[in-house]
Amino acid sequence: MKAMLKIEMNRAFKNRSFYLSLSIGFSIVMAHIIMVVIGKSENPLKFFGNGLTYPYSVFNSWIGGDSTNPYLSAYSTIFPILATMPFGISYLNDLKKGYVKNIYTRTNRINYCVSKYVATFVMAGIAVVIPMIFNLLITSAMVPSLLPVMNGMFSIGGGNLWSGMFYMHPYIYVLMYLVVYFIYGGVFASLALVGAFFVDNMFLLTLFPFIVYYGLGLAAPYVYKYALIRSINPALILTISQPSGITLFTVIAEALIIGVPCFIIFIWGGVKNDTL
Amino acid sequence: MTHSKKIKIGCVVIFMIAGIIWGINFYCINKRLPNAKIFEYSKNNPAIADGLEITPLEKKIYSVDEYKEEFPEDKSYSYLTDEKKEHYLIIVLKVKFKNTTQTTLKFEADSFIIEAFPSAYHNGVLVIDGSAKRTIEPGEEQEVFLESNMNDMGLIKTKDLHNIESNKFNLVYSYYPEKRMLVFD
Repeated sequence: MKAMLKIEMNRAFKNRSFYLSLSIGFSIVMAHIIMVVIGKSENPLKFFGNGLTYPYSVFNSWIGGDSTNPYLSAYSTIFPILATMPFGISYLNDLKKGYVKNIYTRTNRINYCVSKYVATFVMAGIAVVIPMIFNLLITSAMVPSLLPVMNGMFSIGGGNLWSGMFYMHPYIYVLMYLVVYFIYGGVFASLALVGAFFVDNMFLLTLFPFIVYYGLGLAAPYVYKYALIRSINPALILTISQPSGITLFTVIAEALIIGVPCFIIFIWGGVKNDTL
Repeated sequence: MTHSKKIKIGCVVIFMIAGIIWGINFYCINKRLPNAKIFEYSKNNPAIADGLEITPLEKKIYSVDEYKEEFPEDKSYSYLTDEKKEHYLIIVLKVKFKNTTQTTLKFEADSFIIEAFPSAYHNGVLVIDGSAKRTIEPGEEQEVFLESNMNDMGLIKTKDLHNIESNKFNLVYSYYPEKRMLVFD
């Protein structure tokens, strides 16, 4: 298993799609830095007057700190594609090219399937998180890391998830949210692995997680009224400044409801698949 | 030295240089604009702002019905249905202003933001009795009731609404470069 996982991770890191995904992510976050952060860094005191006003802080200047910026919208819209590109379609590729036949003659099928799932999950997580971390690091070197205050310049309200953490330990809040990003990246990429059993086209398979992601967004208004659930729209769940009500229950449940069946179906399907 | 080893060493050097540049920038910007110093004022240690002595006196939390009974002249919450009322609490803060100068002062009694920790509830405040724009004569004292509503439809989580008594309430009148606030025990 360990050797197989090493091989799959090596293949993933050498995959050009991974770097293409990263470069798309980096393009968006760099555009945000050029268009937004540089302007704020030139004069963090621009709108600071007195009393209840406040200078710009990293936590309302970086890409995740302001839900109204178009760069975050662009990033969260193509999020499932960024997650799928690195290694999500590699299973279909392996099936088509006959690579699995070579593997199955040398190792247990389950070793290959588990390694494929883990490598896909991890690479997707890395691909969606690294550009965000890069943006946070660059912003933190240009704009002061002032603690968020509750004067309306920071969009997290008392009713939002982990709001207490945001106002007291904002870097930990961001870190916790990046963990959510990582997991959701992995979960949506794993949809592509399962999709390989039903779709034979690379392009459609890349879009499959996006369709599910978008579909959940369309279904979200119908369940929003339930206090325990609130928004199931992954694009809103992944908006760090939380413009819409989300609950910890939904964040965890959605990841489990998509991720666990995907894992089971992929392992079961992969082992049973009559490839040879 | 192999080609790949040269690339690895090159990458490490680039990362180290980038890290040093990042560290210097991070240090400089945070030294220039550090976090605000916090000044807390209480009943025994009142705040002085522009000659006005401000003392936090009392904090009370009411349900909508209790509030209507206590302050019948305020009709702000009469629109709430019985069902919605359950999602609301109203916090009333009593603050004393005293003119410590020899001249007449004008001030706005609602220039505060109320914060509660650890729930992170925050909101503006309104003056219950009379106008927010006040005039105060030398040596005069005025007690003002300020109210703010909290609801679990965005301002605060439901579980925090029910445990709000355990929160620490502050009335902030300045955020930067010093955070100055009245603390209600």
